[in-house]
Amino acid sequence: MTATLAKENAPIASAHSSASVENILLILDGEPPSKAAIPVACKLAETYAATLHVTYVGERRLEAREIACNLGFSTEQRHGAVFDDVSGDALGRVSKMTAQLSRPLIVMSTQTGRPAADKDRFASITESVVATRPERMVLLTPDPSPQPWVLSRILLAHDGTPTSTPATCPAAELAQLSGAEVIALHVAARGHERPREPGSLQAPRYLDQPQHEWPAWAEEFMNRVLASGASPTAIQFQLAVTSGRPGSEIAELARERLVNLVVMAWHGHWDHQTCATRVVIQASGCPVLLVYSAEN
Amino acid sequence: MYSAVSFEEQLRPADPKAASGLMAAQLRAQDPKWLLIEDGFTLAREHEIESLFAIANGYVGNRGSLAEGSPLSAPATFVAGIFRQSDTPGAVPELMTLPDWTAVKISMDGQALNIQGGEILEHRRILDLRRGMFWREWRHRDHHGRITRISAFRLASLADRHLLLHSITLTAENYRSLVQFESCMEVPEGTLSVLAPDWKVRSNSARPNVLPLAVRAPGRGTTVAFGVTSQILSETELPGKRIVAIDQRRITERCEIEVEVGSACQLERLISIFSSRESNSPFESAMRHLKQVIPEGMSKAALAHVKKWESRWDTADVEIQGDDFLEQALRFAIYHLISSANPDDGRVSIGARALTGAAYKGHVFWDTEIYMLPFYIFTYPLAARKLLEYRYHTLDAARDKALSYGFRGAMYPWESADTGEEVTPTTVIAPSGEVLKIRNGELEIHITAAVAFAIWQYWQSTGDDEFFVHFGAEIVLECARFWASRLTTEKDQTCHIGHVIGPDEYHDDVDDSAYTNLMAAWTLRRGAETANLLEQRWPQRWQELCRKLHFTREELLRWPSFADRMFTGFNPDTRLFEQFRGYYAKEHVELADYEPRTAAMDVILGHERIQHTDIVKQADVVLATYLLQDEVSPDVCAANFRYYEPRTGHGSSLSPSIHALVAARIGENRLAHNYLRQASEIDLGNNMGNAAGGVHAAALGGLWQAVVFGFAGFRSRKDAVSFAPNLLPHWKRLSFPLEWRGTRLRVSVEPEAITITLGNPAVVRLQVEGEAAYHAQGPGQYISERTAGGWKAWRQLSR
Repeated sequence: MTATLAKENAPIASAHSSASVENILLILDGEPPSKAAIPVACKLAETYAATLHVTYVGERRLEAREIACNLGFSTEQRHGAVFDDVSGDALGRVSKMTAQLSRPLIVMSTQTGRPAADKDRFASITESVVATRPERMVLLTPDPSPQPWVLSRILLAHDGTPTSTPATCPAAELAQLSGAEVIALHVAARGHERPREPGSLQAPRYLDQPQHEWPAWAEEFMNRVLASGASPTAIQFQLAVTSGRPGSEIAELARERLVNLVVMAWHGHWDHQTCATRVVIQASGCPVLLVYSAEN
Repeated sequence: MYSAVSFEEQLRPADPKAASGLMAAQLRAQDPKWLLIEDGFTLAREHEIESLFAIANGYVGNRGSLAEGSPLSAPATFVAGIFRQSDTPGAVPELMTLPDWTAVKISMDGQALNIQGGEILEHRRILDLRRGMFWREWRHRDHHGRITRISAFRLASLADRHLLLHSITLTAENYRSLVQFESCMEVPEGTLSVLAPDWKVRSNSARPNVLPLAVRAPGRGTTVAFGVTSQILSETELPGKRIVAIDQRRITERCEIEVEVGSACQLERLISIFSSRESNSPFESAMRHLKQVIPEGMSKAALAHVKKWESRWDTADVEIQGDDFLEQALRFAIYHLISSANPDDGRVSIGARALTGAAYKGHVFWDTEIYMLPFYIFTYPLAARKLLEYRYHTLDAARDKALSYGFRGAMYPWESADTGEEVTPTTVIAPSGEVLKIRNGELEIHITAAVAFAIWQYWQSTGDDEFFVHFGAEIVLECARFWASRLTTEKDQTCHIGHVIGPDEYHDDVDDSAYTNLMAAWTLRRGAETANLLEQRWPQRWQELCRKLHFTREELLRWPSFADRMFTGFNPDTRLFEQFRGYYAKEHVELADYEPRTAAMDVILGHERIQHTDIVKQADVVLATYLLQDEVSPDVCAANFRYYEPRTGHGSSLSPSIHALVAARIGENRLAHNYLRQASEIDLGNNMGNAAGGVHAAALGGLWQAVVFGFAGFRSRKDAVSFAPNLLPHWKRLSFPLEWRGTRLRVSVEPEAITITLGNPAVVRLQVEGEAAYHAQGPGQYISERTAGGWKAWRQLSR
């Protein structure tokens, strides 16, 4: 089922964090799992026409030149990139860069820093950076057999709450910039109460006559997803609905449909071991763009 | 003739008291129990709010959209019976969205007032259920610091169904400005407009010009014409100006006036609407109509509307002392039910979302007969009759459908629109990507029994012989004839109906659906009874029908025989009906394991998988035991409820109310309360998002039935009205009016007593659970008091 963004529902500007990215902040510790983020960061910098900033957070002290030459960047990838100051503690530097840069997007591997003893946790630097709740960040789990990263299919995961809608604009924007298609996925959750947030729309509880209910519901869902988020042009959204546990359903669909990037709102929940966001990052097999949105 | 005209007219200063007078208390309900209030503004909820706050009068309906619009506004006006038909292959007719008459943009010195710009100081939308008015109160500070107060209302007159009123009062709290109200009505893209014959601008008119606009329904040719006029009033007696541009496809009006600091101005708009369904010259009708209304003024028209609503509530209101939420939910339901019916038009029925939204395309289902009609039968019999006349006027289409499937009689369509032809879509793509084949139009044939059942129920409860003889009997006979041709007789002489979908639509193409077979058998018996009655009491009519329909005695004799031999899946040992052949062999799914859940079970399990389980979509056998209460004993009803209730997923909005009703009757109070609450939240639950495409009219009718038939235990019997109340513990009193065979009853149920007040001088036989009938003579008041084990006999309290 597809829903087309209606022009009248496509405000150009939005007060939320939907403006273009101007700086990509790539965080590396110099180890191979961390370096998996390089192609993604470079591609995103190219897509957004943003400046790539590389912040080294490894334990060995490296000069900027060493970072540029020894961490696996190609000559092309180095072109236009800024290799940042390496003094001070790692997290402090990341925070400082995030604050200083205009419209930053953090990109990093889940395995940046000291590996965690608990397999459900990410490496130390990743955990620390996530804990600061950056407005937008891309996390990816290193692939043992990495492929060149292209952006042709985006999965926008949406739980039907208005506070998830800020993820719509970044997904649409990337789709427009890269020519990717967007699948909007809603998971009809089991084991969850209906959200109390006003304006939430979940998979229908009553499906009186599917021949009428599904088209009406799909239109309403997409209207809500699109109306509150800014989107620059008429992007084709394909709507998909599955049921089950949100994290694993999102990850499964991402793998099935060979998705290159999952985009989802993130409300800052992180500690719980069954946190859906963690599951998506660990199991979807592609980078995940988290758009922070405080819960209502 | 005109093609495009622009003109400007000075609006004469109006009596300043008229403006403030119109907004006086007589138009505003103060009791919060009668007000549905939405405070603030949540963009994502706009479609829901528009549905809930819709206004309608059975002829025309309009969604409660913001006048100035928002990114999610979907304003729509519908006229009952006006459908459009696209020429796209496979397209089905749909209720046509007409030009929006409610859009008004307000600006001060050219700066638009916009709810998403500046600061909302107050914003409230109010549906006055008692008076059938949609109010909006809004106080806003714009980017320039100007504070504007808006108080506006809209109504679709119940006193004059072709009249729509829109009033906006603006107060410039802290500024002086030229205020402009700009409205634009236009013919939707892809729709033909119609040029008003002989219309021209009248200059030097004492009153504002009435402007014409008309559309032609694609694929149908029906014309809908609007007449529009606007007036502006001001407290400061400054004259306003009206600048108009009109062509064949749009009317743009700009009314402007200088407003002083702290003073108010008011825009009044009157809209008349006529279609070629009821007028040979809809333009002339609309223009003439407004010319009659304008001299009398908006106040008078609004007050007539209010008075009409008051009188409708006198015959419909349900009071529940001790449960304000449910009382309001009932009033919300009744408001929309009153709004949906037109007692002047027997050629339209009520669509699944009534006139509140475009979902379900305005199509009519069994919802009307089984879920909504009882409300009208007992509170507004004339409206009930008109709804049933729709089935008479579409009887030929039902006959054609039966013939096309190789059957006889009348096979009513699962979904119908204006012509009565089958209009059910045949496929849908679910968002899972699954292409679902929709076979309801072919297999969900129990609607034919629903139509016959409703006719009988109406006739028994109203005593309207004239309707029965001239309309209803023919339908009942044709429905019975259909079932007789549809069933098959097996070697053991039992009768069976194969390949159907029962109310439980999770299982399609089943054999011997208990609900379908029971209702078919009931129809066959009533068909035979109808033939006998006509022959004895109305022989002339019977002769007419015999000539027309070629009945033979042999055919009529077979009907009760078929009914007696109908396979129902009933097991006298368990006292259960098997929902359909093979149901017991389905995989059992423990529904509790899936709770809490936010989605229907077929969404969770998928359409294919759910068919192999014993999950029931909605009240099915449970519904049959309620509808056929005269034939099914209470213990069978209870046994089936207790068996099927835990297996029911309530994937239909029709389900909770019937479960509440039956649970109340069999004393399952906790379940009854839960289901009643669930039923009341289908539209009103603010985190469901269900109502975006319109309110669930059948669920609203079901809610009324749950309270009146379930908790009050009201039954309309052949020769008496009976009650078997079972109030929820926190209810102190449940009271409601009923009309039964021309007599008005006021029923008041308290935990320890039932009081019936008879309004007219008629004899009514009253019954209470377990007691003999009592001949009550109206007017007067009668009481029955609870004893330890039941109820005392009725006694008269007063005359």
